[in-house]
Amino acid sequence: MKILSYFSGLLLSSATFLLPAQSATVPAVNDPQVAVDPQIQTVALHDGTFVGGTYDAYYGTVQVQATIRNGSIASVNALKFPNHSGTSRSINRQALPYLLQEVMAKQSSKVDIIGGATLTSRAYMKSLRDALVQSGK
Amino acid sequence: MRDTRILMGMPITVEIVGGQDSAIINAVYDYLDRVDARFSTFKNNSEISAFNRGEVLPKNLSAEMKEVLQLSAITRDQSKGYFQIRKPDGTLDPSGLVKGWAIRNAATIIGSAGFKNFYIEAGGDIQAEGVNADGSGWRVGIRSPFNNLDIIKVIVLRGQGMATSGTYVRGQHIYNPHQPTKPIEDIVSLSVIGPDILEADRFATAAFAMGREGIYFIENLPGFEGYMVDAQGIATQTTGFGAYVLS
Repeated sequence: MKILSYFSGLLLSSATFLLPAQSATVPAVNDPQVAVDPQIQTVALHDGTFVGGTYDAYYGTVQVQATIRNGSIASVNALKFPNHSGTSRSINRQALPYLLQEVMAKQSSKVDIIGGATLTSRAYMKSLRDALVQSGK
Repeated sequence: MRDTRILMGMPITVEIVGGQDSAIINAVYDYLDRVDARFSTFKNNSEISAFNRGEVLPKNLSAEMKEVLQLSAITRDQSKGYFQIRKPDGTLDPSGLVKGWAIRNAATIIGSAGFKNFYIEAGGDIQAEGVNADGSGWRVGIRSPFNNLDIIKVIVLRGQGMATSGTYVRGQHIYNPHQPTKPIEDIVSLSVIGPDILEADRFATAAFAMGREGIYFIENLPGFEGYMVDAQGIATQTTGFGAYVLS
């Protein structure tokens, strides 16, 4: 049986939620600034792409898009994210003289897995929650 | 067979090549859920929270908790004190290695069930075993710390783990224990490839806390490679890192 559980230690005070296929629990966001039903909601996820709200992550704003396929989360992408990238990029030739340095550059190869820095902040979970609520409508 | 669920506040993906039995996938998620219930500092009823409130004596801690605390002490000693689970307020937060430890143990659960080709990815940290469905090593994209949609490096893993520490993930979540009030501004992300995800995770956390010196720490650590990105978008890699890069 496929089970989709939606759980955040950041956002929930106690229990973990496991539900039957084609549904997800949407946790109450423990934040007075976000007007949501304090009850845990259970929703069936409909296929499609759903965009959550934009939230302040204090180091920038965060907005995510969830793609639902066959009632399960197929992918979660951040549409807005904090951007530290400075306008001036210059290689400091004095730093780290012995190791290879390069200007970070976008790659286009096909990959199996994406790793590295991720957005799992409270703001991220709020936006993801929005997207899943929309999927359940 | 591939599944993604949200646990421990992050999307966690498990893929098993040729696997048809969802019981093993459920077992993995159940295990990760139990780890979260025990180690989450966000949950008042977790063992770590009870221990931090002084409600549990050290001798009465679970074997799992003792193992994690011991691993933390070993890592602290191996990193000149840069790996430190004791926060400035005196409480313990072992999250700098619990994720890697949990992924490694979850990989052991899958391996023990007889599967050889699979990966687990949790919040950007990865243990990749064997080969992908095409019979090649697992192609892993390293996400840009500046742009969630961009991949800045593609590496190939066969049996290793890769963990990334960064200022980007939860805001500033790692601090320099030797200068706790000084933010680590220079380095935005450090990805470390190690013999397994536990090893990669604990040394990525430690090295990140060292700031610019961290990549040298990884350079001098046998069996580990690293890729560091600074605030100006300049990447620095260890000498052996190129061997993992897809050419």
